[in-house]
Amino acid sequence: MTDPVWPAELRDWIREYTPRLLAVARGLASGETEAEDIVQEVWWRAAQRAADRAPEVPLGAWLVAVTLNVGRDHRRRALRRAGILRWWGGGPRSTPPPVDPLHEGSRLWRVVGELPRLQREVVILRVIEEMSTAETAVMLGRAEGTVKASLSRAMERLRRELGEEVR
Amino acid sequence: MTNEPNEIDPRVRELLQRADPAPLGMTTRLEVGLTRRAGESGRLTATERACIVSICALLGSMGGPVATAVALGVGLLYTRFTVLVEA
Repeated sequence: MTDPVWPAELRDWIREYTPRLLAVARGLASGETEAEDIVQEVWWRAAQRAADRAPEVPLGAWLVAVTLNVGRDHRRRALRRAGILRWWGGGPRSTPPPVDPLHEGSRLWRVVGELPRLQREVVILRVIEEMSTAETAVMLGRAEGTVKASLSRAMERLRRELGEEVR
Repeated sequence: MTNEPNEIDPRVRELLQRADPAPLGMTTRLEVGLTRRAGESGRLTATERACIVSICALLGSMGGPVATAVALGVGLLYTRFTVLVEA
């Protein structure tokens, strides 16, 4: 295992971005403790891989993407454990835990985590980083039409999650 | 930065942009945890420990049940049993 390259700004990043990452992590965790574990894992990965981040990728978007990846790994492990428990006679435990109604944004993040990769990246860049379609297209190396279509499909799914009529 | 109208549902935007205040002391816990973990990064990983124990057991199995037990014991002691549980 290699020692991480600790960015000098890591402490500032932790203070600035942890609240947002916590909102994302809550959507993918089964409780507060696991959400904090996910955020801890995110910062560990961020510390190790900070040098790998391309300078044009916004830090916030990169951290959110890492959080979604770590969160999905946690969910996958939890489902595997649930499968073993079921096999062992522990009853069905594979349903995702309910998200606290106080954290409605986290419920949406869970859906974002389930979106196909391109849609997920488009949502992060367009909604969180507030990039334009053109900027997002350049960042992802895709056509503007593809970005628009991906965003539209993602929005449809997210609106459905909110229980609104899809426009 | 421009935002094309009607592409992003304002309610979705508001919810996704919302940040949850971190619980008291969380950022400090994170910083302490990272520092501690960095200090442990030179040690064997759980997978590496599991591999060592497996190899010990395999080698021991060539010498019969007692040798298997002894080799397994040595492997477990070497890698410290508690970490194997994490694997």
